[in-house]
Amino acid sequence: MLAYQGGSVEAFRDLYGLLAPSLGRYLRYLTRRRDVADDLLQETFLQLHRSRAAYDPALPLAPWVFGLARNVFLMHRRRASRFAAVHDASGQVPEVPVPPEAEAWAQRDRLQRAVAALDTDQAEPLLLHHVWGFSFEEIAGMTGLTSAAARARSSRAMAVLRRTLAPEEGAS
Amino acid sequence: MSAGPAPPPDLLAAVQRDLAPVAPRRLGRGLMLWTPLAILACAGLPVVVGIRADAAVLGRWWTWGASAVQLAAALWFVWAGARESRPGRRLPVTALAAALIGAALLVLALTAATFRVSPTVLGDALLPWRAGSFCFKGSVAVGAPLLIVAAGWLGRALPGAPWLAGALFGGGAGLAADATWRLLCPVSDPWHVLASHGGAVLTTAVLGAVLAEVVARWRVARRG
Repeated sequence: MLAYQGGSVEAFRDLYGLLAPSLGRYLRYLTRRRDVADDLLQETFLQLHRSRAAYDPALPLAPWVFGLARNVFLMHRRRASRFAAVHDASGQVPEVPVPPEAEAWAQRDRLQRAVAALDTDQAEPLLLHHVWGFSFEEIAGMTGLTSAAARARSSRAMAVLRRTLAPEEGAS
Repeated sequence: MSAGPAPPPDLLAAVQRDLAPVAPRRLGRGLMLWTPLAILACAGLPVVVGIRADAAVLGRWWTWGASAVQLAAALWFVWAGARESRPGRRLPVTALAAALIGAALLVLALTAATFRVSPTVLGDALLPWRAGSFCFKGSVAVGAPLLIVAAGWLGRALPGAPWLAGALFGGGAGLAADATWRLLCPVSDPWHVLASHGGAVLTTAVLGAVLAEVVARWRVARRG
């Protein structure tokens, strides 16, 4: 990031290669639509470019970039008022990531449906922690929650997931 | 070289169009630039215009000391606004609510204490309205430049809730302006102070929220 702030286009390419896959998955989770997520991914990197001076190298990069992506999504949601459409249940298996701890509980498509059905307020801390590896302090900085609230929501979401998938877990 | 995907050509072209080196802006640096400006407004205006007539009755603590405490609260709000405007650095809503209640209690306590030490009321039927209007406009006028300087940081940031970041900047600017104005205004009547001075703080906070929303919408609209 320092090299990129210094004006290196190669550093930007490296940064994109490093961050785009996980950011893309995060945006696909938030929007539930690949085409919208792809647009927002480009918008995130454009905003990152405009805001590159605002990044403090003393702080970790991932929470800043994910926070930026989240803000881009919130801007998009406000601008387009598409939240209902974005979360449109089309009957297909939603493209959402799954906590690795839950992978043994059920078939992947059933797991994905269960994660997609979770309340977004609870599921977001769960996924940010278990899928992308952020600490609850970092999640608090991204979402405006306290770290205790982020931890509690994540635990509640995991408990709901466990309850939802319990019959199949017992059968296997 | 990263093994990940390459950026799309449009994005790369946009980045390459403006790839000038930038100096990283730390959170504290903006505040260090804003603080002298606020102190200058807080101390400079009374020096030029003249301090309130009952300063001798109030003593040093209830004039300068109380304003210094209020200015410290203003700096906290500006710092919170700067945090809120940085992705990944948001403060919990509970901390912001506690600060809001704390600031309201601080203003109430300073108003009550100042009135207890030096009670001055406006007797004439028309005077309270005219004095109130004068203090309201003056306080907003002192707060506006402080707000604009603070909100300048928003131009290159992308807060998740622009109105909240702007309201925090505005509240900080309003509190700093009121810390100045209470050094000039000789009226300690709580109704005057809360309606005119407090109203100016709230107005500056609302102006900050509106300004931040305008800046955010402009930023999103300016694509490519």
